[in-house]
Amino acid sequence: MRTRLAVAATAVTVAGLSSLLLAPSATAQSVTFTLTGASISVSEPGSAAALTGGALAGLTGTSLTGALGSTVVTDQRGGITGWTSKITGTTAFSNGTTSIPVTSAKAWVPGVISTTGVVAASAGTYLTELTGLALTGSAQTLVTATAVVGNNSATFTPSISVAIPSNATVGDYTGAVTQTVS
Amino acid sequence: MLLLVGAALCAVTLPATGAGEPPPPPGLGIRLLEAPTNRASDFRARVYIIDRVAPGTVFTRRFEISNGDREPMDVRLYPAAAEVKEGSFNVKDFGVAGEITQWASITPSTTRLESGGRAQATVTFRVDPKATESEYYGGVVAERPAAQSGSGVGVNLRIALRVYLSVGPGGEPASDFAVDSLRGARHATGAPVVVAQVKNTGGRALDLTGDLRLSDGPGGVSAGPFPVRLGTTLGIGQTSPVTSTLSNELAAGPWLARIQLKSGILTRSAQATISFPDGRGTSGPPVAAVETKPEDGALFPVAIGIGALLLLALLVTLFLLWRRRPRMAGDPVYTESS
Repeated sequence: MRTRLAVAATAVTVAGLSSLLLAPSATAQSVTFTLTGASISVSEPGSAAALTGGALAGLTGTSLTGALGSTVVTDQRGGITGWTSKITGTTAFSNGTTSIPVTSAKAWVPGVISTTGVVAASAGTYLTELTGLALTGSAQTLVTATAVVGNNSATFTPSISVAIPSNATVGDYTGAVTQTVS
Repeated sequence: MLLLVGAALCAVTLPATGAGEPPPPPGLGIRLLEAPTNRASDFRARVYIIDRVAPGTVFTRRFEISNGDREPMDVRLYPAAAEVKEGSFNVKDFGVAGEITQWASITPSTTRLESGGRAQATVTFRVDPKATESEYYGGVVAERPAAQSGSGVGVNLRIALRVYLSVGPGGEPASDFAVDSLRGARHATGAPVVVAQVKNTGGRALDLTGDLRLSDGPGGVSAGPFPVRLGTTLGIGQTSPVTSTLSNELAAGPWLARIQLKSGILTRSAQATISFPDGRGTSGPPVAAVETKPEDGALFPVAIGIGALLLLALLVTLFLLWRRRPRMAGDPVYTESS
């Protein structure tokens, strides 16, 4: 009995080892296993950010600035894979009469990015309006998280400014940006 | 290493889901619910959709989205195009066409998540039978559109699973990268910086992480490890600088700088002797890097672990066999304890 048990134990061990060592063929893509945990999330208040800086009239050449909502990235994937938060100018700023292109906008992250866990989260040189990231219709990296070890989170509040063109008319402007975390 | 990863996977997979599941993380969350078995040891394949398939293959992946906010959330789900550029993985906006947007579809395409709610969705890839051999990039995107009311700047909030889909006949192209050179530089703030030029020499995109150590410095001083900063992703054939910013107090050198980088289960290490220039915002000459064995060599612990296990199994077997052999005169007499 014990002999059989022992032999079985050896066989199981060896089989376990060989299954680890002999990787299945690359064509076995339909075979999957179930994952648990490992989520990543982003939170940001849904309300639109108001831009201030005075009345539009007479302010040609200046810009309106405002803060987007406090953005929290929560990475519970438990690995060493970094993440990025990117920003895109999605919809031009319009009051119904004047349309200000998204390329007139800049984004930056003032102040310190507060983090939990082991992560280095940085907005690079996009720290002030002067050195801000000029938006385009394509996603560009605003915040990069590197040196990740395990679960981590980062909280930052991007600012945005819109340069006012000389032909701007008075009114309430609306526009949209897209923040993407991946 | 394989063994260690295997053990770690078991530990990660064991906790039950369902009733005891913690509340979802704040805001809009996403997670992959399944990964290919043949990539069980690759962490990237557990958080991104990574696979190698033949043209014409149809396959699915399940994922979950969650709402950790107090308000209900209307979420739109769609596949997006993506590119790997300047060391970064860019998931493009809704409506930008690419191979992945043509091949992939997600059900459901919209869903309402209650506060604290979770929902499952499935992305189906129908790879074009005529697709040329390449690696294709995309995103499985969950988007909370900006509020439609009021003036100001609305924010479309998106969270995405990256898709790295290698398409072609046969097995997967090998992944590899090389550190071409290292050089010392000094940031405008005065902080010394090490810049490594890393080239992706393999057939798949890489997500690099790693650290840098300095040794053999003035007076035999060592320093580090320092984390390396880089754009997160290096495309096929692309070269990208990988930088590590060090502390201001470090002497100018010369130092033996050694960088170790990882992508998935692949590790490469290289070293070169460099000095930091005096002038702020200046850079020293690049020094060709010599490849070294990774410090936490992956193969050595595996060999030891496997050897030890096999030896243990053998010893146990021999011992039990020895106990079961017919007793001979002069042998010590054992009695069964039970």
